[in-house]
Amino acid sequence: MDGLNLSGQLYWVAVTLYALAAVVFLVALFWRREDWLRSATRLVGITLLPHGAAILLRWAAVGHGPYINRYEVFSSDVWVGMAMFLAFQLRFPRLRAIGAAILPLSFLLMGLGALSTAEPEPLAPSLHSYWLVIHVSFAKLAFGSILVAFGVGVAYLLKERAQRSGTENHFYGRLPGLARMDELGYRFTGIGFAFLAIMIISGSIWANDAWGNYWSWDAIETWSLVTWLFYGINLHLRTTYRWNGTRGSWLSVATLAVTVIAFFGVAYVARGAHVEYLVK
Amino acid sequence: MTTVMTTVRESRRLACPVGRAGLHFRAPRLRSLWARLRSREMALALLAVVLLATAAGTLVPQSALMASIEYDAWKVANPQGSALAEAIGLTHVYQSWWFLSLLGLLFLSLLACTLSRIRQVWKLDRIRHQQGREIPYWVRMPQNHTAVPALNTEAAFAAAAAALADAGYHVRQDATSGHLVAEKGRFGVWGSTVLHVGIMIILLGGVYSGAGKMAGYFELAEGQAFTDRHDAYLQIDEGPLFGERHPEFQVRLERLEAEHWENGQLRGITSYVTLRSPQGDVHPATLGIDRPLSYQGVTIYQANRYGFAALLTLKDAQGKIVTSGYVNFPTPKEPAGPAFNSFAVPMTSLRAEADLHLASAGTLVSAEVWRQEQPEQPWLYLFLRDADGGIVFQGTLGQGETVPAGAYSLSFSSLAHWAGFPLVRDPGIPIIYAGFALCALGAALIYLLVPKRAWVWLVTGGAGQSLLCIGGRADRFQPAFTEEIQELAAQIGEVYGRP
Repeated sequence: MDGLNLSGQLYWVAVTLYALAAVVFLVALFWRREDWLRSATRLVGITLLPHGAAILLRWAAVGHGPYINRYEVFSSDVWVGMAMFLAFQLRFPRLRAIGAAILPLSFLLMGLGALSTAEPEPLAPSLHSYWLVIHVSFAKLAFGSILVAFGVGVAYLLKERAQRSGTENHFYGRLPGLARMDELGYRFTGIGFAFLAIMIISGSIWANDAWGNYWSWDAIETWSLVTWLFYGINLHLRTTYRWNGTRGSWLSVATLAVTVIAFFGVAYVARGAHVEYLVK
Repeated sequence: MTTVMTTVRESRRLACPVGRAGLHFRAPRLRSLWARLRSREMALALLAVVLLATAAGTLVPQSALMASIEYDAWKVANPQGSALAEAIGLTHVYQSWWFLSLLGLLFLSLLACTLSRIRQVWKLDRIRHQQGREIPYWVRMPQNHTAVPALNTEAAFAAAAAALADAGYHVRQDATSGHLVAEKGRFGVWGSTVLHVGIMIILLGGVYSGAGKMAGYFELAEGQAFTDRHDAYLQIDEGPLFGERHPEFQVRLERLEAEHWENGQLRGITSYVTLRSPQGDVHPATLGIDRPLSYQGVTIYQANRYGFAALLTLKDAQGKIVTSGYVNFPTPKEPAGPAFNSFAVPMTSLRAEADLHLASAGTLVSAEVWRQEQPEQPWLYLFLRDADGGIVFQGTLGQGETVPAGAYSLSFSSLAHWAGFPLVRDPGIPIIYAGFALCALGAALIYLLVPKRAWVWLVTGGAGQSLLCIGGRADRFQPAFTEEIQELAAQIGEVYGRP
């Protein structure tokens, strides 16, 4: 069996395990089974191994990193997002429950990636640049950060609603305090904002190096700016208007929605340099 | 025994402050306008409107960003919608006066907010750094600090200083009162200012770039030379401040190598060129798609437009050369088909449409054919039309052949490689890159360096017991800082709460 075939099979193993982890997280959330949260998190950790191996095997077989088509881009975005989630829950084990918000979305992205072509594509000459590595890496880190901020935002909203309705139980009680969760959501949104800035800057420098044009109003390029502006509005609302707590959490949810539209949706409806890599 | 509350106190929010601005105008109208510009409401409203306008430009086809034939097709398909979009400027958003005005307003708002902020942050930073003699009253309030029993007070103080230093704090002791003042991430207070200054510099750089930039495009076949002059470019776009400052150097394409992947896709192009300055200095150089070439203040890029060029010569009935030159055929995307070009024949009223074939008719053509270094049997299928559209010549023309074409004779003498070269002179780039660097630095300062200040002091408790108090505040992420202070207090109490 060659590396590419094995990579494809490991990808499906990862998709299946993510689906299973999503189900376990949701069951744990709705049936308030804290021990199941631990199992689901362990399952995500285990899944990162075949998933990572699939990415590396494909990397070796096609001769370039996961940049070219949806199959590669979505898969590596999810891997980075899941790695960030695991690192996050190691630091904040009481926030494991955010997996219930993150895992279904990750599974959906893996599924969408699987629907696109897995045919290996060679690297276009303009992509031979270390700026590409910086650009793509920070795009993935930005996505991972906002994914975590979204998860924390959802956890905040659930706990806040339970507190308000007087139905808070041991499960919600185990989550950190509302102020702490709010601060974590703000912190990860801020980190995402910084990563997104570096992604846009490195992409702009790369475009100038390759084509002599640092900004060309390409649809995805423009939407990355729209997303950055949205992050900016989010952070200004939090710092100057004190849109913290419930409103801040809803802002985190909306920020993820705008990020998903920019990273994964715009390519389907608009034309431009990135479309070539994200629609296939 | 570790008692007492938390250390919560939100810092003063400085984002776009409403206090006195950095500039003070005497004229009431200007003062009012400036006050409006530095208001938070204005900044947020402008951000939201710029966001919506930017997004709108991706939802409506933009005339400047797509081929005119595609744009016209969209107009035909959507006559009413396109008329409305054109009337309100939605088909050229990024070049429209209203979008540029919005960016101008956003710049002014950023300027007003940032000047105001610089003044306040400067004062705040200076006050904070000099502060230390007195512990802020709200930190002294019992609910805003943590206290641990300190049986051995001197050792407890030393331990607190060591614990804070281990945690990365710069610790000093106030000479008068003896309390400790610890500071961390002091320069983080400048993060937002640096970020906003960076954004302003990018906007200024963009304006300067737009005004002073020259972007041109030329094509060369092997052996051909190009001189940097306005009228020598196939396409040229100059900003109003460029002022026709063409260095007038010469580029000669000596050799071109195109590499392909196994599936026929382009892997890379290398152009071997000779550069000749107006003073006659000659420099050999190479450039590729990922290796642009900088020379005399301009950058020459390698486009991925390339292919074979046929050298055609048109002679009149007396055998005198009317025109002679290369016709460039872009490599076709579908290798089974021919390469195509349509062009006006210089010095005549003729127009030509030509297909370039690299294999005999009826031969199965693959991508390999287009990768040949020197094709053996190139031939053209050619239409020559006069000004009225009447056909002057229609037929095949092989390499080395001459055919009659009306009152002329047309010959195809040789085949060479050609490629396209964009050339850019952009004086705004260093400014924009400086803005990028400041933006990245500002973002890093905001989220990596959180300004935190902590105080450690002794009080006597109700039972005459000495208590070591520790409290403070952070500019951002106060709940995490509260946890940090509690951990530090626990750490100190663990060791030095004992006799």
